[in-house]
Amino acid sequence: MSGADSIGQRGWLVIGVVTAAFIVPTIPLPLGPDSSMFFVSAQKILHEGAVHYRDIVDVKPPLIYYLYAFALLFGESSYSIRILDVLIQLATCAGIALLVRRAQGSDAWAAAAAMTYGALYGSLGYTYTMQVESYLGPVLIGIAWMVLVRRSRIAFFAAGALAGVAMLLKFPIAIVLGCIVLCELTITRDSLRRSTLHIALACAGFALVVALLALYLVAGDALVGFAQMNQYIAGYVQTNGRGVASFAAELVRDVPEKIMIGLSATVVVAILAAVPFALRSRSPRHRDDRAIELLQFMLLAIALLTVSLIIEGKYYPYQIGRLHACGAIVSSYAIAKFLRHVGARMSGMYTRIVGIALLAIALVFSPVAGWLWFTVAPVAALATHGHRGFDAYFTRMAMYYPRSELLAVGNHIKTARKAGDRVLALSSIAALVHYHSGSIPDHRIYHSAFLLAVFGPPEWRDEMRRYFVDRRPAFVVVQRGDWLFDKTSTDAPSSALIDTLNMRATLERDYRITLETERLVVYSRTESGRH
Amino acid sequence: MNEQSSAIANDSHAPRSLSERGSRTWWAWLGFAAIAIVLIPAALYSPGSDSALFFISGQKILHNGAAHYRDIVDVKPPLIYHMYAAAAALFGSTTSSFRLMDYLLQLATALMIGRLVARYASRTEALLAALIYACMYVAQSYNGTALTESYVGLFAVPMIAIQLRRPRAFGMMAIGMLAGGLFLLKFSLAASLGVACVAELALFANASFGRRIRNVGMMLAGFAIVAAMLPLYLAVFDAWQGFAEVNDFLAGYLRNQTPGIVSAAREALTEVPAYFADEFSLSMVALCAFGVAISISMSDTKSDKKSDEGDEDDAVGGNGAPVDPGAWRRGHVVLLRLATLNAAVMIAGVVIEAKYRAFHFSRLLPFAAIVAAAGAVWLFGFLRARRPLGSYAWMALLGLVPVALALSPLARYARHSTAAVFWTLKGPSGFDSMYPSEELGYSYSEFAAIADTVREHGSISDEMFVSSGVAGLVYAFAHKVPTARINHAAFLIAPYAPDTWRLETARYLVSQQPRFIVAHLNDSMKEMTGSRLSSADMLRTLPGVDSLLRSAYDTAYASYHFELYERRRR
Repeated sequence: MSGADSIGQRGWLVIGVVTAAFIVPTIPLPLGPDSSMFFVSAQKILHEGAVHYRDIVDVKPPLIYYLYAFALLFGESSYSIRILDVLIQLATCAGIALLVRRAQGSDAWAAAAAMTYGALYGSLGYTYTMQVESYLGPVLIGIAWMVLVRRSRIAFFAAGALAGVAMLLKFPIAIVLGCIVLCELTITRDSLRRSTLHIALACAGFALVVALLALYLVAGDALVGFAQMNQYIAGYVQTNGRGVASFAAELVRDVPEKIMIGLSATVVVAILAAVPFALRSRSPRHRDDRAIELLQFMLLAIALLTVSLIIEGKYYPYQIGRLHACGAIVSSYAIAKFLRHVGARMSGMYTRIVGIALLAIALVFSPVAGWLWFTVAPVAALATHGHRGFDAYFTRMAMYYPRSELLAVGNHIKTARKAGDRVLALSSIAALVHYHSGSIPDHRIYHSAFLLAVFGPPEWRDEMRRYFVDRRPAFVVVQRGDWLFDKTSTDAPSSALIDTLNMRATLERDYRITLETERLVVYSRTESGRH
Repeated sequence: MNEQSSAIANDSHAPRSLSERGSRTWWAWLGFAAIAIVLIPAALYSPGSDSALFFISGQKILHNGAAHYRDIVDVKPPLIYHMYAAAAALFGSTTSSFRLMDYLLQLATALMIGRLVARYASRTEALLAALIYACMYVAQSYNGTALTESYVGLFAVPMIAIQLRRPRAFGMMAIGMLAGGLFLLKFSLAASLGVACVAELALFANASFGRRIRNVGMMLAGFAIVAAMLPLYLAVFDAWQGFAEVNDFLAGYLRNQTPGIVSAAREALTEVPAYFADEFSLSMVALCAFGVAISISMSDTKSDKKSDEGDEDDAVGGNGAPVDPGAWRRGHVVLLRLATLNAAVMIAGVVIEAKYRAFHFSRLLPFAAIVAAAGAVWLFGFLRARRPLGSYAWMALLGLVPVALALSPLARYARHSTAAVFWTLKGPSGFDSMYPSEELGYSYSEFAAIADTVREHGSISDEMFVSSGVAGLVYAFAHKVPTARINHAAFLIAPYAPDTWRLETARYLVSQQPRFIVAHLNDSMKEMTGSRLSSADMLRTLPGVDSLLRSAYDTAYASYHFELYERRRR
């Protein structure tokens, strides 16, 4: 694709504004269950000098918690991380546009890719943004830049190190290292010797980050916690493991459907339409080769990251978010090409009618619809009707948990809590309870799934039993009716932990219920309940 | 240019050598055999819940002289029931009769698709289109075949064929009459007439405007003639009252289906992509995307002339040979455009009906097959033009081809065909081993057990009433033709259904006291009725029925899903 259709400065300004319009509205959105988990863990890191795995039990590798901790240096509210997130996402958009242009792609492709990424990210709404997958974009752009543009020895080492950073975000995402290897073997046309050297350098860079993780675990005395987490994950994989037949059925039925919904129909169709253009002949180098190499690289990334999705076996929109950057670049190639085609043939009535209708349909089934639905509308509800309006919006959509209950619980604890009072939340949204009540947990486990799961290490339950007996928290918040089967392989809700952790007698004797909402119960310690 | 002579160019009139003709005949027979084989599972399928309902209605028409709306309560127009009656008359009163009819009609549809495409494009594309249609049709499974949407191609493909031939007035009228046939299958399918009219005005600009207006007038006249058969049918069979009742029900049903524009929009935004990614398959989506792009980007004003507009990437065409886009014959382009427009209107129809079960989308299959075949031929040509392929392309193809096959209708075809074989060889237990009863809400073994109990305890003349969302299947297994008008429990559960239906059913049960009553215990149909009541719960809410069941009936058979009541000996 040539760069003939260049966009002027004013055009780029408009594109920048449109892209920002997709992302910036996420700033006032509240924290979701996962982001609150990262937020509370970051508070522990900042205030208690906590080390991940040793003092924080969660499945993700350490990087995300430190990213949040960095944001909290500028203020301990959701705005800090939201603003940092927006800056990173805008930088990703800029990086995408620069990469496409540098790869001799057209301005239209670059602009469409940046806007598509912005729309895809904006369509995630409040629960699915600021996840680990959200930060794969800049890492992948960096790798592509090093491998396709810079191509020096240091660049390949850096690319490998960036793949290591991806691993620090989420282990399966380390599969992006495969992009570098396959790119060198099939896309770029270097000699075998040079390709081998490049691959070796990338692997060295990756190994360096792995070594840093090992060092972190040793220096932070977190090896035991890391082993426990691996035990949990192994149990989880075994329990959720599927037979060949159901795995094949899932592959054929669920994966395409979930990806279609996660990325939007328009983006998926555009990705499929772009595939043939990446299948080039063994002809001599062409002026468009750089652009095609980028297309090929990003298609590789889509393929490998889809494999990582299948390995994880979960397809929530934020997990599909790992495909955003590569999906935006690939789909925009086809979108820009299609628009150019239709634009050049607008003379026929059929082309006018069907072309315009198709564009309208493409817009309806694009991430823009999700952005309106999950970001713009909730922000508008929040702005016009406050938290009740926000709650009402999501209740109408029959989703999530009522935030008004969380706010009530948070305010209740905030009002009654004295300095030094501890809060224990037995809930799948325990981190949100801590966040809203302004308390930082001094225990390691604040997601009930780790305690409910039959395959979780028994030490975790023993530890929490001891914590409850020894520390006697001033407030115990228990959630009823939360369904965690996909994480625990049991139908038991968080409230079942009262018996699992042998808390019932103590709760009945030394605590009284001071607030009860539909799903949350707050037990407050009585004076006689103090040690 | 005279309009008749401007009939869109085709290659059928070109002089051919004997060997070429022989080769074409050989290809035609080979294609016919392939399509006939691919469609075989459609003939072996077991009855589905809706097709069984049509089957027993057809039985009522054939054996009891029933008239639709008067003696049969269902929302579809009369044609489908009479088609089933005709199948039973021709092939016998078993469920195999409609499967055989369906097989023959689908074979005819696939052959018409192949013939139509062959007229304007390559033989490869024609064979592909017919095979894609056949494969996708079978992939609809036992429950999604032999339904009203299944016969869209039977009427719509000839409509396109006739329109492309640019006939005189009567031909145009025939297009309208075929659209009338679609109307008698399902009212909303008449949207095909709209496509034909719009296409006449927009795609055939080489005819004078007056001529095109006249053609549209003839189409409308043809449609009116066939559509008029509906009021005639209602008048002759005294079915106006029943028709009005069904319309009342439909009005309430539509209100239930679309509670608000926002939720309807949200549902459409989720369900339409879900269908295309899953049931329609990603491979078909990709091929259709290429086909639609071709329909847009190819010139329709130049016939067999080179275009100077196409870019390098488009420079491939039919038969996989690299040619310029301008070489695509105009008829081929118009065919693709008609198919694209029809497919779009069919999808819009599903969205308007707000019912997103896979079989509702099967109305677009004939058109999708034509568009996808064009996309497939373009893709093959595109790749051939790039030979010798680079290492990336080879690696990608090695990875993509198996994935594309897995994510194509072939996977579903294989699964449902296997089920058809299991059903044929092992009967109900074979069927149940392929389709878990937890997903369906019933099992064929239960139907077989009910049928056995009825056979053991009663005689052929004993009446039976079934309260279930799959009542047709129970009747079909038990070889019973219902006397009651209402054979789908949704018509009794829905709060917006006419009260007369409930009263009539209660009166029938209390006064006639059929020998057997079957109740479906856990078939809540909230999506259809807006109520959580199961058929069994509903049955006991009918005036006098609960006490009747207690005082005059015993349980003769009970399973997880069904309870069979047998009247005590008087």
